Amino acid sequence: MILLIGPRLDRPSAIGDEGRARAASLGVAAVVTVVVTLAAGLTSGLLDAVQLAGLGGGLVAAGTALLDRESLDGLAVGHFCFMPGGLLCLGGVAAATLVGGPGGFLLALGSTLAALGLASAWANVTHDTTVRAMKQGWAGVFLPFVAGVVLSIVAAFALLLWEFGVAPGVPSLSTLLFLLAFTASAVCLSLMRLPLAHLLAVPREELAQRRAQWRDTARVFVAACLAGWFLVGVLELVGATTGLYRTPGLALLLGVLSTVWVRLPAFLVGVGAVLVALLAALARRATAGNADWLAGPALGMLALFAIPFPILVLLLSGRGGAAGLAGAAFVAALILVAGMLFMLCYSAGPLAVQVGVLPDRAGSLSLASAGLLVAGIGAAALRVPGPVVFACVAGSMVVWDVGEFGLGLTVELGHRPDTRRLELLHGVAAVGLAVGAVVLATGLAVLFGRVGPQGPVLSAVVLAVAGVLALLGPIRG
Amino acid sequence: MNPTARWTAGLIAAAVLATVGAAAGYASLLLAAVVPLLYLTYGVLSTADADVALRAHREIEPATAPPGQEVTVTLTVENAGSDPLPDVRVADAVPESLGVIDGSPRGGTALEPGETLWAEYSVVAKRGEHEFGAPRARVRSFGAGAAADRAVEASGERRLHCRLDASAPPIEQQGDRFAGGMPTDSPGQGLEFHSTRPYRRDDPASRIDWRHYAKRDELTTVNYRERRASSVVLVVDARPASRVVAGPARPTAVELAAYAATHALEDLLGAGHEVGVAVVGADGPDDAGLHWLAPGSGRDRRARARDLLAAATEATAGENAADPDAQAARIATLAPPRAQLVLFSPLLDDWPVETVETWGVRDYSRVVLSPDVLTHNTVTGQFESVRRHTRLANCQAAGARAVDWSRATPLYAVLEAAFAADARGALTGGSS
Repeated sequence: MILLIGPRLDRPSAIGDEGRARAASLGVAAVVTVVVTLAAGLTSGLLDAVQLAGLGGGLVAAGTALLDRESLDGLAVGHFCFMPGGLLCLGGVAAATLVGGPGGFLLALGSTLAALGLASAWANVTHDTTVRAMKQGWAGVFLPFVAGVVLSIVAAFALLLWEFGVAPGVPSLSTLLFLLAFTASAVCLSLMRLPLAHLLAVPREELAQRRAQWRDTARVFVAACLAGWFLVGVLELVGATTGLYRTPGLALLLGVLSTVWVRLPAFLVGVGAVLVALLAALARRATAGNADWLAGPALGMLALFAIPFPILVLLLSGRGGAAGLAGAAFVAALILVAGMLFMLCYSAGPLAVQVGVLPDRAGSLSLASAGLLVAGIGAAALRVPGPVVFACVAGSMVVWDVGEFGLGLTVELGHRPDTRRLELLHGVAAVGLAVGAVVLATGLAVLFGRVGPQGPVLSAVVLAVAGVLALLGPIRG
Repeated sequence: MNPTARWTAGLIAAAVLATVGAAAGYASLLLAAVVPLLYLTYGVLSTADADVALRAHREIEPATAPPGQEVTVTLTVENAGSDPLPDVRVADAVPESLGVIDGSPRGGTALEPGETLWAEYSVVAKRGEHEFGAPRARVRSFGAGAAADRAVEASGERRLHCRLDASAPPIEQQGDRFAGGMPTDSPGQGLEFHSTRPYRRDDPASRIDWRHYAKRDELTTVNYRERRASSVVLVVDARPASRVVAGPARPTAVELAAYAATHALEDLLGAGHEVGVAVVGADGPDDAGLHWLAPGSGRDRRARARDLLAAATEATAGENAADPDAQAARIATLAPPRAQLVLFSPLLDDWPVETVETWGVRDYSRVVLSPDVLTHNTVTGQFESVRRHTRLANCQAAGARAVDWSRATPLYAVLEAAFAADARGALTGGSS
């Protein structure tokens, strides 16, 4: 599987590469899956929803594989596949449910799982990969909340500083001292964070000494300002300075010092210094080669909104919704909730592997096979023709059969030997058996249809199946 | 015969379909339960016979190799029966001490009667005798419902012999040309033209310059560059710091050094020189803990030198091992004057450089031949490689001829660089 633009999915270490043991097996499984899901979609009338869900499943798998990469481009493309793919899945399943009810839900869900499992098998997605993708996805979903909280706090602090430090209602010395303490702290912080050794032609040792001096001076100054702010503030509160502030010369001086034009530059210097320090710290972390913690969530958030938001706004505006700021906020909230819902569903996968419900190495194939089985149940619920239901179940068996066979080949022989002939021969056997099983089941359906309606015949079939199941266990030992 | 446990999932699928079909009243789902049951039944009824006619043959090329040489092993398995085999998987029993560096000792395919499965792979030779076991074969039924295992006795070669004196063909063919007799600046017997002089009564007729006689009617004698025997001491650095490998299943630097020393020994003795051997870094019988064999020649000396070099690869030195500096000083006192000292070391620390400088004080001609055992695809490997090259340069600066034996370079070319070009300096006793 190769993306036309962006990083390759089929890295040399990935299973399913050309000449690798599982390639032919997965090829057979992929063809069978596509044929069966398309047939189910066509006969049920839910082809668009099934295609949407299947496409989403494939994108989620590609995103999961790419989110395991260390490079920034892999991370970026991974996020832009992962989140939009997840939302596509949800959209497809929701559309199928709205149109087809529970049957449609199962059919679309099964198609999604089949596409997700099969694509994951191609891309060599393992439990560790899904855990990493899960963390990245949750980080992307939570970042808007975190960013909102942080921005709110910053805005509140800036507002308070503005109200009481920059533009106080009455002339005040304590607010000026507090503003100076803030500005001095911010400037000191930015001087500590900025890469001055690179920006200035100063030796490192000398710079370190200077920094230590600046830090000590700033500490003393800030401590003095804060102490003054506290003392003068208390005195101002109890009214002890009222008389003093009314002294003509001092009143004029305090009036000048309390104007916006005097205090605004100090405030702007402080804010600028904080921003510079923040940028310097982020740039230092980003260029240290470990940008996942920062770039991952940011890209995840971007991917969550960048593509789905304009599409949803366009779709809803065409129907008279999503007008104005309220509409945009509604769409954003909808995307956020959908993202969380998708992440909840996705997290079930790694959790299932963790508790042992799904196998690790064969987890992708199990998912694909189970997906087709679920799609078969959905097709039966939608009352599609019997052969299509049988084909879905037979497809599930073929996917499991050839996939597990190819996986066994990889385990026993490794990647290097050429096993294409062996895999194709087994694929022919598996598909042949599936066709025979579908023909047999269809024949039985026709026979039962002629013998009579559901009642006694159904009971007989139930008894027969239960009997066979009970017998097969002991026979297999 | 073992039925594979692949269809447990089918059992679960059938149970789910039957339960949902019965509960929801979907007849098609009930009938769909037949599909996994059919797979399950097929799996149960499948059989695989382990007693199929398989014929295996193994070729090891070359079967006798020096340490570090890549050896190609080819395993062929033929379906000697009359029935086709839908699924045959074979794994050769590679000795645990050897590591596969290329290809795969495993293979799998469907075999028609008379058809053959090939598995070709490469291993790196390590000193010792390595015996290959019987390949294992797994035969599966059509559809892989059942599997059976068996061992297949392989005809052909079973052992890989890895010896220090395993001569690669270029060495045997050209050894004397590269590291053989040491020509000097003195005129006399030899092969290479040096000068002419007036004929003397005892000069052999074969050395008379007949062309000159035809032109000038004077008898003159041709002088050739004289070739003399010299004393060479081969010093193998077997200290713990040198017992490192370039990668998994590869020979140690000491093995490579001993291999190169063995070939140098053969060539030098063959050219008539006196050769001695010293092993540094192992607990030897000498007072300084040195393994020492004084320079000499002859069949017996050759055998003893070979044994000493072979023992160097297995040498151990504990915490209380003798000081390598003392051993190096001991070599300087034991070696004959004007002998050539050849140090085989991977140059992974500064000891060889210091040793070469110490020997230079006594005016010995010195050669350092360094096998490269560092990896170059990691940052630390590249860093070490830079340090090693610096040490090579330092050896050169100390007056020694330093020769880098990279893995891609054949040994005979390395020995040529180490001895032939330095020969004149060796015999004149000066440093090159």
